[in-house]
Amino acid sequence: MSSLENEFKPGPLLFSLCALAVSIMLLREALRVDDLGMSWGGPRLFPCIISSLLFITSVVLVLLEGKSLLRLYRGVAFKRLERVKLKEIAPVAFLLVIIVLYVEIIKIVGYLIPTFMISLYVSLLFKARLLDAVMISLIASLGSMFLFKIVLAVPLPEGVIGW
Amino acid sequence: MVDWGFIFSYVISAKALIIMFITALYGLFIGAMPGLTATMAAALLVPFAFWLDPLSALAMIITMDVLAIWAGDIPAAFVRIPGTPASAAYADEMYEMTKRGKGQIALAISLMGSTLGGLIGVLVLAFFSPELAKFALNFSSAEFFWLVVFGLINGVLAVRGSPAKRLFSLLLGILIALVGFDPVFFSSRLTFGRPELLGGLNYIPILIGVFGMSEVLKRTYYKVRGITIELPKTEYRFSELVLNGLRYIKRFYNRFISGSTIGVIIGALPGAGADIAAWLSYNLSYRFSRNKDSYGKGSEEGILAATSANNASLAGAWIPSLVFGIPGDSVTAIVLGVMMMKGIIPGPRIFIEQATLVYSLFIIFTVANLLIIPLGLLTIKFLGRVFLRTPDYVLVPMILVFCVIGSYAIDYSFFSVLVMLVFGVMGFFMDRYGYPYAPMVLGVILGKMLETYFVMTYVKGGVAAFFNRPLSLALFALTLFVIFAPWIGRKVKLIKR
Repeated sequence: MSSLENEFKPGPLLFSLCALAVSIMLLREALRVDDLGMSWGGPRLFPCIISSLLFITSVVLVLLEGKSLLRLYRGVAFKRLERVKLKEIAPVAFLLVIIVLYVEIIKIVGYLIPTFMISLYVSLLFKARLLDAVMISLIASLGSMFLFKIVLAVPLPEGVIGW
Repeated sequence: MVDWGFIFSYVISAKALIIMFITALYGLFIGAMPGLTATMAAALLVPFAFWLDPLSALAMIITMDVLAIWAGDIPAAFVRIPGTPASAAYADEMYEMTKRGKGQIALAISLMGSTLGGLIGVLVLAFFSPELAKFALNFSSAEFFWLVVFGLINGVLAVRGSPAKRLFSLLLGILIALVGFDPVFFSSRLTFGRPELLGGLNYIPILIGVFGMSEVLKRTYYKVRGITIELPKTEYRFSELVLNGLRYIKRFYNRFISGSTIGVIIGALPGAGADIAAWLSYNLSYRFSRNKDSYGKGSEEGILAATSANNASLAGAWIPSLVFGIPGDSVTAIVLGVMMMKGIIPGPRIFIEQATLVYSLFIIFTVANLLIIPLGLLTIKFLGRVFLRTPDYVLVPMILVFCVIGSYAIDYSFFSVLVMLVFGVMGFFMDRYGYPYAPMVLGVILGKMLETYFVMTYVKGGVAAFFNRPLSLALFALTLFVIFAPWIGRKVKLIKR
């Protein structure tokens, strides 16, 4: 058996636990649906069937992923915790935060400037030269504004600046 | 009496050609932009339809629709983001081909498959409209229920990975589709008390998130880890593209025929459109393929089956619309509105009373499908070069901006952008831990339909109502057959030995 097969990686187990948590939340919500006084369940029936199946499937997933934990406990597998290197995951998490901020700021400031800024950030993150990044960001923000606002008449947020 | 002289003089008139050319370019643009759908594009054409004669108004929508559905394959091939929901079923296959330096060939296959599949759809529309419409009307809620189950089961069976993960993905997709008001009783569910969720979740931001945003996050993650995704910059001549497209049709002609047939039949069913046709055809082609190993790694066979189905379904969707005035899909619902606006009353008598108009539509459909070839080839060459030679520092910001604005443009709401982001993160982790997201996407698309037909059938007569009609029993048997086909095949082989 190769050493890779003996490794215990917590990522899949953690993800299956998240899946289980989601399925419990959905099952709880499905059980709270009003049956409108219908003996057979009315609008509650179908969501309950599907969410129960989802719950069972997620329990199976946790058990399957948990097998590796059991092997670790018995000493068959050796621990190789997927060390989350902050250096690797931080830019992805930071990008997400930036996008959420962008979506919030766009409502206040308008479409153009935040779009230029976020394009510039992403472009620089991918190691573009500053001048190239500025050009790309100008094209992305002005080009998309022209296409959507002028050609397709999509009412883009105008914010305090007006564009 | 059909006035063929009028039809041909109209089709070759400068007015018709200009209208078709402009709307073809418009369709190409809409299709290639993730988040913009053919339905939205058709709705934007309605004000123009008001000023045009009936035939030109319908020609405009037909040409746009045909080109947009094909063009949805372009971003699917080069950046793995389906331009329209109809391309979602095989976006991964196309991108895998691009990774092997055959992105332009993937588009050439879809180009020829779409054109010829579309032409088959037109032939069926011209010769078998009343018969197919009558067949479609035999479908009660029980048959529709089994048809949707059949599609979903195939969706789970057609992807690789752990069966539990595939099933989880599908069930989650169905539940996501159920969020909001229930379509039969109009009571709210699965909203977690959030008023924004009452209207349900639109599947376009979900598609953009799962395919587009997750790609942005993945590329960022790879970049930080020093992994670069280098796509081979192989380019092909026009003749090579055409010959390769035709070569694969010849090689997988059975998939092409079955795809086109599925497309026409699904299109003819009210409410089912090109996206469902493509999923079903792709999944069935995998199920009955002799080259199952090639699926998920850029299968020409899978691409051909799905692309021929989605364009064939466009003509199919006109069958119930013309014969009964029941829209076959969302675009034909708009078409029906335009027809009413122009005083054209759909129904069985339209073939007699407005024969010239009806046959003009068939010819326009044919021309629109043929237009895919020259315009499509130019697009493949031009956009192929642009996409393949564009570095990540240009492409990723562009994808990000289009993901955000594409989601926003659906209903002009930032909530859709948030939904897109959530599904982007989910897609990123699902991909990382081996949860296929194709079943989830299929569940999101078909979930509400499944529930509607389930409740409608159950209300009629409980569990028995699902099995008490010959057609529903046949579809149920077909579903069981598809599940157990490999096992039956193995048993038959053993007995033969």
